[in-house]
Amino acid sequence: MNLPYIYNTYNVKKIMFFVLIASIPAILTECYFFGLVILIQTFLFVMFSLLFEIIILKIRKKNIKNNLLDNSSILTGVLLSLSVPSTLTWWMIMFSSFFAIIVAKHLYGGLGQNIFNPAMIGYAALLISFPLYMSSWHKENTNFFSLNDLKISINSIFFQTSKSDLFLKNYPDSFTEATPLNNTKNKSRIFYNIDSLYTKLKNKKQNNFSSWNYINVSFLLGGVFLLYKKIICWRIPFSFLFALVIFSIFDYFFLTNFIFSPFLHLFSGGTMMCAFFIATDPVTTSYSNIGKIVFGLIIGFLVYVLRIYSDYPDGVAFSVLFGNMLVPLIDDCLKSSGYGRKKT
Amino acid sequence: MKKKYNFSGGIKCLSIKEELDKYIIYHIPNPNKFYMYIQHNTFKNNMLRVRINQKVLCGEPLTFGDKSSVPIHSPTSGWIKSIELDSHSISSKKKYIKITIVSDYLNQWIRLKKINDYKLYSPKSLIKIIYQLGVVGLGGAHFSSSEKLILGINSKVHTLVVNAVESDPYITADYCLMTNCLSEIFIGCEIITWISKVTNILIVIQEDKIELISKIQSLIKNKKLFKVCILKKKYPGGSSKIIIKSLTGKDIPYGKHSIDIGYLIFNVSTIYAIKKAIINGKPLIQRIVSLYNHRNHSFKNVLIKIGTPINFLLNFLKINNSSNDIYIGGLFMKYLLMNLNQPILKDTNCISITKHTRNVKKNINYECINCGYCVQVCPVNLLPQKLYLYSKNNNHEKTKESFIMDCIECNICEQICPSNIPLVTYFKHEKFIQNQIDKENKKKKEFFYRFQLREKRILNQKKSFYQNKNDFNNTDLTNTNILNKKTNKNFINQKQIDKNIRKEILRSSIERAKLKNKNL
Repeated sequence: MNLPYIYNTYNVKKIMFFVLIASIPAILTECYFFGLVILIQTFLFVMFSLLFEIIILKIRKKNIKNNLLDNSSILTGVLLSLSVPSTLTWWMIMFSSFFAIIVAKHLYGGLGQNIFNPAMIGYAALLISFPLYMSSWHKENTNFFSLNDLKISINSIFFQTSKSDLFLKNYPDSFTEATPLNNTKNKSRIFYNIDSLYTKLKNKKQNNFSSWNYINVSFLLGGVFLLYKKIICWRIPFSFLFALVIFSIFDYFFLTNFIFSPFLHLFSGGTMMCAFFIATDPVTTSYSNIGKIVFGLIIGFLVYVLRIYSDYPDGVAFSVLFGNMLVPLIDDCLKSSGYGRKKT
Repeated sequence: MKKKYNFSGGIKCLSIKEELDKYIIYHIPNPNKFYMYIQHNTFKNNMLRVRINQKVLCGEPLTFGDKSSVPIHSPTSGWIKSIELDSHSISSKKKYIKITIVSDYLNQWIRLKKINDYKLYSPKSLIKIIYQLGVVGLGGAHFSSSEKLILGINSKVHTLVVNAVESDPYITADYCLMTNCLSEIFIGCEIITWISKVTNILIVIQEDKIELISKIQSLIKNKKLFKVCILKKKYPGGSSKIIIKSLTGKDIPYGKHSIDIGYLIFNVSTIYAIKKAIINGKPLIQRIVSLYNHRNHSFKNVLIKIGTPINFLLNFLKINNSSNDIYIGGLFMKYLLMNLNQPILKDTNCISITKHTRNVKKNINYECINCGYCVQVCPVNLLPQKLYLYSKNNNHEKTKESFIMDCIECNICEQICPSNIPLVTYFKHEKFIQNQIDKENKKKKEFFYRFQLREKRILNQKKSFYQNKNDFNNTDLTNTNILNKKTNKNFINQKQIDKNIRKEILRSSIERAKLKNKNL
């Protein structure tokens, strides 16, 4: 159907494939900081999501080959593996991919019909049911790509050696949270001076603290690639980041000592991943140009509120899901007028 | 640099390979048979002027025209072989009168009325000449240009827009005509200014024709009326709605023409035809058609007589029919030719040839993923994906609310759609259904109006009956005067009648209640 003479023509398959390519730098940086676990985990996520896809397609009596090859289920698996911490056991991976593929995607009617973002549903299901596993990250990897690393990661995923033992043995100085968000939040509750905490962290273990900055930057690189290829629209990520920065600056000037700085908001947690990979999912966002901007602003505001005032460390998943709920309302309110008619 | 005019939406295409012989016009000799199609409609008086086995000369009118349909002229001298009802492959439902003419290869012309100084004639007589020589809009609308000029005189027009923008990206017929006969087009513009008294003329050209623009600008320098406007090269630029939007920023209101705002739009080839009609006295019997070959991106521009079958043209240029698919129209708005004997009509711009492939690529149709590419590309500000969803689920009210009737069927959304959904076929079907619903609604309104009239009549009868209850015996019921409004108006006071009716109903109900009580 697509003519070869037009600039920038894409397939559904091609779009998903380009997003997969854009997520490669993020996978590699995570691999550098957390070890080979990440690769095994992504492989498992993709395999489980493909398996569930095949099962549900057989039950729904659809053409398996066409629907499987559109790369969307692979993308869901990769995004899930990028968003969860690195030491999940295999049955947790199965659990979350079940929720992502079957409940979030196919019970709503397959690709194109789902209201909620499937990857975020899988993440939220894990976060609600296993909060302890989800909030603990293990420390930076010192011996990269060694045999020992492989052994540990296979042990932790398949045989579920008890978590505390593993980390206490190998990394006695572990910094339980990869994102500094939770730590700073807990400290800020009791009016702790954040500036001193920063300096402490920087002096002690610089690498660990800045690991998430590097991962966010790699996500940003992938996002720039997608923007250059014109696969995603600039409106959602920019409005989202704009809203987050504006709200955080507004608070930061009044309460400098115990509120996160806007820089911390931008380059920690899943901010960049949300901006370029998750919020821009075309199915669950508004279609009109103004609607996209409104959607981005709403998510930015929600992320800010959930980070500061809720008990969860990172509010990205929930804010995206709440934003998805509001999308039909936005679409209904912001109708574009037809050609040559007065706006009503 | 001059300002470049632009419009929202639209699509860019890859540029084409330049060739030396691209802008030379090929002349095509006369074929053996010509086929002319004439619109046949019972509501219009479109009468034939010729009969079978009659000899006709070149340029002789074949029909008497009507207000909306102009007369048609014979392209050669020869004999009329047959006159029959037939349908051509564009619209297989409608039936047309088909006249076949066998040519005698002599090309004898009838006597032509040449006008050297058109300023001696009044505008209305000039319009009459244009009408009699059968000039219609050659851009594709097939709207008779004499009627356009009359409308332009009646409602005051201030600018003439010369449309030199090709409707499809790879058609070069207009450009070819501009390069070869520019001075004649200027004379045509001056004729139109004499007729409709416009104050300025805008020539609209796309930006990639640099040589032509400089050529025109050097010619224009002394003339105050003319002005060149440069459009950006995008696909749906040829439509009159979009040209006016990009020039002025105004939308043409729904159901109105550009004349109502004050702009006259003519295609370049139409202006050329008008010039030929008035100064040379020649009727419209030939036009320039561009051939586009998909295989090697090559062009040919051909001056061809209207009515020559396409089969003859292809044989003359030695193009193999069996291994090619032949379409009428450019890249975007094309449809497959099933019958190669179909002639060239007045509104065929382009004939495109593609390689015939039996095993068409398997285009998998995915479901709509709401990506919004079609919304950003649509030139008339619609929401194609919503329209698709509504029309797929037979939600006719919602489709009408989101303005499906404004769609100009430019096919961009279908081409750019990543899930390969045939959007425009859905829209065409939905438009057909909307038209039927409109017709039904009109019928319902009429019937309801009639029903209301009947109710009124019956009520009046009742009223008169109650009013004249006392002298019921005196009046004659069979007398039609009871139904007459004039007599009724004299003695009926509406409020009183209503009161009386209510009283009567009350009285009867009270009596019934009393009866019930007694029974208990």
